[in-house]
Amino acid sequence: MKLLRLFRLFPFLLLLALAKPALACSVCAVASEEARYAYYFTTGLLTFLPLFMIGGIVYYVAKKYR
Amino acid sequence: MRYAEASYSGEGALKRQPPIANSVLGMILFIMTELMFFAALVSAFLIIKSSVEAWPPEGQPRLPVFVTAINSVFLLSSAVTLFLANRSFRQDAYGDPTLKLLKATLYLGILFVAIQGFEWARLISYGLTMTSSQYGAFFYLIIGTHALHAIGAIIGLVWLYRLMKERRLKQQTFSAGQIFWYFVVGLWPILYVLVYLT
Repeated sequence: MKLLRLFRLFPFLLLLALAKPALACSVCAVASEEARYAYYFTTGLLTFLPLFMIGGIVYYVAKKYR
Repeated sequence: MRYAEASYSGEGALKRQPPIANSVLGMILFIMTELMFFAALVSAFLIIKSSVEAWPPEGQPRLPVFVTAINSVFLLSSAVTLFLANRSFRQDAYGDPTLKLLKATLYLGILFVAIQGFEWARLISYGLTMTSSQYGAFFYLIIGTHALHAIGAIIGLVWLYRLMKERRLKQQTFSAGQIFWYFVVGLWPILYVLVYLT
């Protein structure tokens, strides 16, 4: 039974083996300090901006009802 | 539950007032998506800008910094006139000063877009196009998207003006339009510094 399950996994394992490394990482292509900071900044911006915006509305509504 | 702002409906049941008017909340949610859109554009711009040796690239025309700075003053002034229009609307809803202030906002907005258009025509004649370089592509994409929003906001203001003239404008509709205009105005200095000055 266990062997059969493992056998079912075989196609997926095969796919993993076929996968090639993606050399499209834009961070790796850029070596300058300025670019590195730009990546940090934009990652932070795109991550935290929606959280701050939604958090702001939730805070406002909660404060209004407190 | 807060009952201070609650009121009774026709059936006698307690009806709670929303903390934010629906039109205002809808506009805020819309602006949130717009902000993410502009954040993505700005992110792409910053990454590309920091990845190249020289920015602006050699052989590309320089952007009209001074004229656009003056144009920015027109746009920022329009936020002040709209603020005053809303204050006037709260005091004397359909009075003459409200209409005049709203009209002034409208003219300042149109002036901003017209000057932008004029400068664009000059830049295109100097060879800065969408396909001339990444510099040109980002310039027209970011500033053009903002200009489209400004045009949309002007159409919104025209609609508000019409409603006001017909004495059908509600305070919450005015506020929603005002928030969108503030978004267009508030975003501009950020884009100006990023695209024109850095």
